[in-house]
Amino acid sequence: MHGSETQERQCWRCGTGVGAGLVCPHCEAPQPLPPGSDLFAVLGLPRRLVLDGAELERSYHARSRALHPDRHQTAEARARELSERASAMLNRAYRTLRDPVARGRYWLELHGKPLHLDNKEVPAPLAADVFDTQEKLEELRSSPTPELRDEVRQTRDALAARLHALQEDLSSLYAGRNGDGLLGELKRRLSEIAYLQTLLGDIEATLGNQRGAHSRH
Amino acid sequence: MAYSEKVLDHYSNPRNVGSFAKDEPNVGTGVVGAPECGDVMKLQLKIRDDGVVEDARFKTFGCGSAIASSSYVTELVKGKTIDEVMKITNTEIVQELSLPPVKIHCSVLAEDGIKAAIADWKRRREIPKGETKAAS
Repeated sequence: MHGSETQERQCWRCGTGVGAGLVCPHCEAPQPLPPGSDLFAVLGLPRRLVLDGAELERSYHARSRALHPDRHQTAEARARELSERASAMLNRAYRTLRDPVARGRYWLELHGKPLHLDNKEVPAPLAADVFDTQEKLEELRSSPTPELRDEVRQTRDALAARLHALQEDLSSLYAGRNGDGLLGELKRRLSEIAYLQTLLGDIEATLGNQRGAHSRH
Repeated sequence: MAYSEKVLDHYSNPRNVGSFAKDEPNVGTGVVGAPECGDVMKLQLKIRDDGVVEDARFKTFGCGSAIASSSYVTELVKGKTIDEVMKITNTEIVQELSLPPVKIHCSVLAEDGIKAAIADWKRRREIPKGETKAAS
């Protein structure tokens, strides 16, 4: 993003060089995003899995202020349109990158290996947990007893703790490894997180409403 | 989401729900899932020595289309040879159930599950008789 192409970017309104910036340093007009910008570039952050939370917040707030549609509401149509588009992109970048799970999924997409691609195999121990738990939920729905309800609550707590630990461990994965091995490991962990999240959602739905028919989607 | 009549039929009256014992020597088990939506499918085939699928079972936790896809595919494979089963594609499932584009991945999952079950059956047959118990 610091290549010669971006250095030649000029403000569409006043012609001042804008570098990789999203607003013109001279007339403050919002600029179109440089072609091929990823969500890291939108926030002016290095393209890395580890990121500095404080820097992310600072950058987001500074850029939000400069690009906010309120600030450009009396400007010409092009400026208003660019400010809306850039603000939406900025919000998307912020939401995605501040959450380690969403950031990891986005990282897989950036590297052409999105979570769903070639990822149908469920590791046997995880599959066993999912089927055991779902069968317990079926039983609870058809014949709810206080004992079974307690058992399901305990399962929920154990799964929630496991999910929490997996989420916590992401930061050390992000800080530690690089190269091809990282993407595979990332995919494995994010898949497990996704299965556990769905399972916990089903448990909550069953505990919250045992009478209604159960169906997803 | 409006489901087709056939999806609703399989969903409300699923065929071949249940499990075979995993350690039965002529049973192949395929477990597949889609992390995006959290759907999981277990498909099991009971296959004779001559390679004909005698019976099938499934257990699926997911949306109506995932349940219907696995229910239909267990009907489809019965009486077929494993070579015929390997030629089944998800398009057959999509057409039979009139799945909308957003639910095509459910039919792909069912196809993969059936193929994983056959691979499992083949793998288990390669283990010499007598070692089956020790290996499991």
